[in-house]
Amino acid sequence: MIKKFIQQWSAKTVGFTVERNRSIAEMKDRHWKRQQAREKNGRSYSRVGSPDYMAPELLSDSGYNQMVDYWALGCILYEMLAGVAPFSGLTAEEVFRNILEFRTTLTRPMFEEDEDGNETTVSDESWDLITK
Amino acid sequence: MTERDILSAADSEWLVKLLYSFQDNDYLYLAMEYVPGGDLRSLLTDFGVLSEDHASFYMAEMIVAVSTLHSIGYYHRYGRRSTIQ
Repeated sequence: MIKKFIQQWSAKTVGFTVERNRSIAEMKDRHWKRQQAREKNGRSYSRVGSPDYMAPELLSDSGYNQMVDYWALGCILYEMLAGVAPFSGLTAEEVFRNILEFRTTLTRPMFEEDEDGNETTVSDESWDLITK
Repeated sequence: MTERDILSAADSEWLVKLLYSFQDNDYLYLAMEYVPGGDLRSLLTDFGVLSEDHASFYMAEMIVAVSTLHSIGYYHRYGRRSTIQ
């Protein structure tokens, strides 16, 4: 019953989706399963969730902390200024690949247009964390 | 539910307020503050790109909101374009 509720709720919800950190593995599994199912069906999967703002440490199994939220905020800032999400791709896999290779895929607009000092330092911290 | 616990614990100008919640056998209902004005996604769709002043205003809001969540021990984990306003 609770599961049913969660499914319905997350299908409809907009706004803050807040999860405790333990559920990340589940979420990721579900995402991949859904995606595999979509590929089997031969359907388009360009509208999968919103992996655009996921931090690289969420995609690996190395663990993460609050910095993933600042990563997401950095992505949002990028998108507000550049008009597109920093790691956007045609498929979720492409997005994930772009995120994991952010050192080469993240291109200059971030630095040229970003004059918000706070944001830059937060992103740096986030990147430090990822390189650990 | 986690969402309900967080929203009732959080008290911030920048987080949607939870007014009350109740449940029946099948569903949990959350009654929340009504926030007109659309979401960030539709704002970006309309404007394309925001000016830096404009963007920094929203960033400041979001940073306050996120740090409120962190201060009560939750991670937002990954943002949605549909954060309010």
